[in-house]
Order: sequence, then C-alpha cells, then structure tokens
Amino acid sequence: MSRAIDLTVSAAQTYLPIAEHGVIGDLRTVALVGTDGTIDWYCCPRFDSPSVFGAILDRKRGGHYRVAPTVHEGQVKQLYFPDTNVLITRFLTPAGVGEVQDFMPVAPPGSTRQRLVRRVLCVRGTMTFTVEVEPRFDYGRTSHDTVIHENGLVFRSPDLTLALSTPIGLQPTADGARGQFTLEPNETVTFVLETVPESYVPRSFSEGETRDDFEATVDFWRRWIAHSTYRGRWREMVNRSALALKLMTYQPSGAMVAAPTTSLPELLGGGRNWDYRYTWIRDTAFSLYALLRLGFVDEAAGFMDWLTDRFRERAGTDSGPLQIMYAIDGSSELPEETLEHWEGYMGSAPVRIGNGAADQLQLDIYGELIDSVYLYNKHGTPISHDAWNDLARIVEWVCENWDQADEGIWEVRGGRQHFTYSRLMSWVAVERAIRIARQRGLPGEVPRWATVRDTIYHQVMTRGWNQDRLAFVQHYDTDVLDASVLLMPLTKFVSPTDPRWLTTLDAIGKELVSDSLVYRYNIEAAPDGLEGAEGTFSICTFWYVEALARAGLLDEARLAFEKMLTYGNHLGLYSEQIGATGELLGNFPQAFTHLALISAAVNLDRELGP
Amino acid sequence: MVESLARHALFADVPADALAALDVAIREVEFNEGDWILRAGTENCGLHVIIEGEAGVVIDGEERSRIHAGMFFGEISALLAEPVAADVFARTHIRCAVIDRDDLFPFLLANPSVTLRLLQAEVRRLADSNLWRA
Repeated sequence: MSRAIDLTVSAAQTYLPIAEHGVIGDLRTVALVGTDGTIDWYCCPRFDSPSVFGAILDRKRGGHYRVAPTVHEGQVKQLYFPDTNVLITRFLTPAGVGEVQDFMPVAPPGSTRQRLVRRVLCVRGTMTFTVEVEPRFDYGRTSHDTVIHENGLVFRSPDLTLALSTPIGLQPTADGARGQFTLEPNETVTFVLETVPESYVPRSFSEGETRDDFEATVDFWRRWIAHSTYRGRWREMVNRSALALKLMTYQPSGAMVAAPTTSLPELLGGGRNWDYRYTWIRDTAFSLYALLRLGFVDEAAGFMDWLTDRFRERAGTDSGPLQIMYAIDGSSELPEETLEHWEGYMGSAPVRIGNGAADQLQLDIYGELIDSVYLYNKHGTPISHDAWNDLARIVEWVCENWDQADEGIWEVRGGRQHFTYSRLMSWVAVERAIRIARQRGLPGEVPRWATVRDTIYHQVMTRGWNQDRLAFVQHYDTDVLDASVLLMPLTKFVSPTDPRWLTTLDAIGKELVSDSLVYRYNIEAAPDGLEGAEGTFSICTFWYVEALARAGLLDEARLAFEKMLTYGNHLGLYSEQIGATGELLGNFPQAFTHLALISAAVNLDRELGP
Repeated sequence: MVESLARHALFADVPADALAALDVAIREVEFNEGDWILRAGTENCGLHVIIEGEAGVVIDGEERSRIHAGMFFGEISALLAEPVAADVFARTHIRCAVIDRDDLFPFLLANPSVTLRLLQAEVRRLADSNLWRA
C-alpha cells in the first residue's frame, strides 16, 4: 500500500502524524521510520531500553536520524517489501526518484550484535540526499562524545556506544553529524548503525555485504510468514498484523510488548500517556490465541513458556499470585517516572517511563491466562504435570478471591469497583480449568470449582445485568455500558443469540458505537480517575465485529470490519485508538489491536463461509 | 582548531589540556577547491588530518578515491621517510591539521593513545581491504 505525502512536512519542523510511520525491528527492539525519512523512535538494545532517537516525544531534545532528499519537493510513498518487515520509503521528486531501504538484520539467538541498516538508492535522475544523525542517549538525559573516523562515526555515552559506518564524509554538529551526497541511477550508499564496544573503529561495508544482509532479512520474514495457515479473506491484512505482532516479540524470552512506544497520547495535548513497552498477561494470553489460529505454534509455545515461568514464580504481591504486567525479561519492578524535560508528542505531557499500573489488582488476567492454557493444551502441547499443579493453585486462589472489587481491564485509576468483565473472566478461569481437568483426567477440586463457577455465573446474571437498560453493564453499581462485555459471547459465557445478549449488543450499538467505531465506555457517565477524553478503541471495534458475526448479523459485521480496515495506516498498522477525525492515537503499533483484527477476520471469515 | 581535533578519532582519547598543549606541534593549512595538497614524489610532507572538506587521491593521473573529514593521509611517507606515492587535491575548500615529520615521532611517543588510534585505523584499513578481497 502507498500514499502520497507532502515532503515539506518534516519531523525537523514539526511532529509527523502517528500514522505516518512504518516500523522495522530485529525481535529485540524496533525503530519508527517516518514518511519523511526520519527515525524518530529507537530504543537500544531492547524495547524497554532508554531511547537514542526520541524526537517523536520531543522534536528538539529527543534526537533523530534522518535520510531524505535535500530538495523538499515531490511526494513520498512508503511500503513494506512484500511479506516482510523491510521498509522502503520512496521519494519522487522533480530531480529524480530515490529510496531508503530500512531494515534490522535478525541476529541468531545468543548474538548481541544489533544493526540498523539504511540503504539509500537512486532509481532515476540525480538525487541529492541529506543525512542528519542526532542521537540523544538515555532519553536525552546523558551527554555523549562524537568521534569521527575514516569510515564513519562513533557516539560514546557512558552506558552505550553506537557506531555509524558509512562511506560518506559527515561533518560534526554540536551533538551529532550531518552530510550530503549525490547519487546517479543504481548508485547506493549504506549507513549501518551498530551497537559496538567503546574502542570500536567503524569499518566499510561493501555493497555485496549489504545486499546479503538485505536478502537474509527478507528471507527471514518470508520464511516466518509462510508458516501461516490462514487462507481466508483479508489475508494481506491478517498477515501484516501477524508480522507486526512478531515485530513486537522479544526473542530472548518469548514475551511480547503491548506496543514498542511510550506516551504517544490517547488525546492530543492530554495526559493519558503511558509506557506500553511491557508485557501484559492479558495481551500475551490473547496473542497466544490469535497466533494459534494462524498456525504459529512455535510463537505460541514461546508465549506459553513465558507465561508458565510467571505463574510458577508465584512471586506475587498483595494483588494476587501474578502481576498484571512484567518487563520483557520477566522482572516485576516497573517503577513509573516522568521525563519532565520532554514536551511530549505535540505537547502532550507528561512523558512517562515505567508503568505504575503494574501493582493494580485486575482479576480478569486469570481468566485470560487459563483460557490461553486451555487453548494451548487443546491445539498445541498438552500441559505438563508441574505446570498443571501450579495452575491448580492459581485456580484455588481465584476461587478464594474472585468476589472483590478491582481496577478492571481498563486499569482505571478512579478506585476499585466490582467490574462485570472481571467477574466474567473469573468465570472463564474456573470454567476452563474444569474443562482441562475433565478432558485430560487431571486431579483437581472439580466439584468445588464447579460450585464457584456457578456462583459467579449467577452473580453476573443478576448484579451485572441492568433490567432498566436491558443490558450487561460496566460494574455492579452502575447503569453505564462498557465495551468489554462484548467478550461475553466470545468466551462462551452467554450464547451469541441469547435475548439478554442481543439487547446488550443493541444498547452498545446505540450508545458506544459511532459510525462502526466503538468507545470503550462513556467517560462522562463513568469517570475513570483520569483527565481528558479519548478516541474510539480499536480492539473494542474488532470485538464488536466478532460479536455481530456470532449473532448472525453478518452484513453489519462485514461492513463494520471493512470500515475498520480503512482506519489502518498506509502500511496496515494500527495504534490503540482512533480520533474523531480518523487519526491514529495512542501507542503505535499496538499488539492488542492487531491480534483482535486477526481474531475478527478469522471468525468473520468462518461465519461468512466459503 | 583544538575543538575540531577533539572529535577526530586520532585525538578522541587525549584529555583537553593535553590537546591544548599539542597545539605547538600542529599547524593548520587550508586549500581552495582544485588546489594540490600533496604531489607524488614530495618528501617530508607530514601527517595530514582532514578537519573539514573533501579531497581526491590521484594515482597515474586517475582519481582513485575520495577522502573526507575523519580521515588522514601522508602518514606512510612520514613514518617510513619515503616520498609520497600519490597526488592529493582539494575537491572542496579544505582544512587540515598537519604534524611535520620531524615532530611526528616525539609526538607519537609522547601520546600513546594517538599512536594506538593511528594503529587501529591502519589495521582497520588492512582488515577492510581483506574483507573486500574475500
């Protein structure tokens, strides 16, 4: 996919729309590449490491790495090399056509080598490019030395040294370097940014070597996506979502970040800015489901191992045997702090790193966890004896603790409530555990679990149901609707054609749905302890599509899904939310949205039939 | 001048005060676009470090390579006391720091970090040329 873009819009002068970015990565971290040729987000060496280029959160102090035509006339098109995460940004100018190929070679497991390659190519005419490299280490909090070598530059900060190898002579600026070069047709210049020891001397890269790296990277992604077994409708979008999810996977541990960015705002100028570079139990559990549906059993196994490690640690706090989120290496300390020196995306302060929601009580995570174990046990590898014993202990904990207020799926900071969704997922936790025990003949207090399951069921049906609204509501003491209950039929708590469910779906359609896009709840009616409004939640829209499809409302479901596809960016990538004028808002790209897209596509395709 | 040199790999590990003291041994030269900087056969040319601009290396009347800020030339002739093997001309306006041959040996002996960086750069050239042949 491609789209014309005004080249005069440059990150050097302003902030690019969130949607005007592509993403490259190496299964350890990613870089965001703007359609103006600027890398304005890059954390190194891991997703959750401090940023080196962070101009997307502060255009003056964040640091950037730009390669673009010197003359700002013409148009830009950006696309992925087919079936890969190799990104091509094409500049079409009166002087000629040139392109920048951005990719990060995927290093073999165990290797610490990390490279970000930018290969610049002239396709037609004579193209003069300008390159600007302005790193700002540790979120711009640490100064660095810039050392000029024969074959490039070395940026030395106290904790990280990066080498930029290039045949182009760059002139130093106050904290970086810049240069200019001209290419004739088929001429190329390559820039390799690499993590190196402090004493490193940059070397030259031959064109053949760069081409080998390019082909190896293309081959890696193509071999990976070839494992997908999905042959249904919207395959291109489904594959792109799968590739995006894989990009957000941290290979050494198998964990997946919720998004590779922090503090991209849910509302421009607002304070709803969070760090998503962590692994939520919920997201990982849903990811496992989505990837299993596409046949990615190895990835599902990786997630399962990671999840198993977490619930076996039992290193929980007062909030239960599991935290709601962890760092990608499984560590549980995620202290939240604010980067006061950064203005935030388009002035959307504060910029937060770390995540203070880690200690929240969110009872739904046990349902998502055990549902994913159930699915993996069914479609992947049968659960081991030790893992079952640990899981049974979690079920026991849920049986003792389900009936209490919590912060809920949306991580509200306005006080605990008895959320219907949390109860629903507690029901799922116990119900799936019973299924595993019965199907596999595993030991467990099944009769007692069944009693708890039924108690939760009756409680949801009485207290989660609002007779005046004829709908399931957000929590037990309100008449406010909430899109999270869209998972009721998806988790098989209620039949998708149950009269109670159909009136709920109707009520949600009238109150939370705007032109097929779904708000997660009505903020004015249900203050969540946070200031500011927000856009529609893309994951809720995909849940809505699935709920419509399962209710047999196929025309509505299909139209809503097709409309939703138009809100992805030019590469088919989604952030968390969509604003009133169709702009992407929130962290980008967001795993939860992409896995919901996969699930909606797979289920809608199945309902539509061949 | 000292500030410019501090960013050059050769001098990156020399403390600021020591670098200021080196000022005596280093002289700055400038050339306009098209000027000859070195001619093949010249003796006693000294080590040239490009601070700003770009130069072309000409052998047998043909431009074989371009060199730019971050690079240095003339070191082989200076270290081996042999005549320069190539012509070098300014492709743009160019500024270089020069350490004359008579000053170079004591300079390198007094500044082991510069000697190490010089050695690293020469070894990198050798490694790169091996890489290209492979």
